[in-house]
Amino acid sequence: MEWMKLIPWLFYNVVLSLLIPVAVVQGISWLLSKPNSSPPRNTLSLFGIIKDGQVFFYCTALAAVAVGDLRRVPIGFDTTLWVMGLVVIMILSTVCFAVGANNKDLVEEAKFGWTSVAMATAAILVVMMFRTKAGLL
Amino acid sequence: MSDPDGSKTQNMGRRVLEDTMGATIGAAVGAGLSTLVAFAVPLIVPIVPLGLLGGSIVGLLIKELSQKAREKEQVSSATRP
Repeated sequence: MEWMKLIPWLFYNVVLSLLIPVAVVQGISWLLSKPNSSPPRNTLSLFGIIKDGQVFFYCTALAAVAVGDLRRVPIGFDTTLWVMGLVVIMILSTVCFAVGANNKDLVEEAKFGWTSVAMATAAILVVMMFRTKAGLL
Repeated sequence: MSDPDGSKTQNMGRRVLEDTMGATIGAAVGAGLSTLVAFAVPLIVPIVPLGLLGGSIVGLLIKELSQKAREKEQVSSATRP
């Protein structure tokens, strides 16, 4: 059962390091929200939390750690395409964050939010598959 | 290189932002589809990074082409009598 090995990896690298921090921020925002006050203080939306590009840091870190683990890859495993994929993730997430941070007035919260979610999905899938294939789970 | 009102810089910023967003969303779609294929069919070739790379290029091209079409439309509507 190869996929059973994925569960601890997903727990430590996705649930603990990405989902729980976002959930805690939203939970605190909900606790502090006062919809009946004037002016009303509403709960932050998911995209409102990640609008500054924090998720791109997570993607870069996830890919960078995988690149760091390349020396643990078994001999005979071809890493060329995987390295290219991981480098593309690092470049894309860094460029996205840089462009978003430099053009704050142009950034639409929903669009940037969906881009963050897409980047995180791509990074998680590529790193997960790399670790599965290379036996680094 | 004069850009007194900053509109050129803003347009360039918007263009780069749209392009990177397109590439990112394309990369996610490519990686997702290739992961499904990798789970369904055991292949020797690492298909996931290929899907990511291909998806990002396709996403970038789609965004760039749609921007070009939009620009063309704007120019034609501005020059129309």
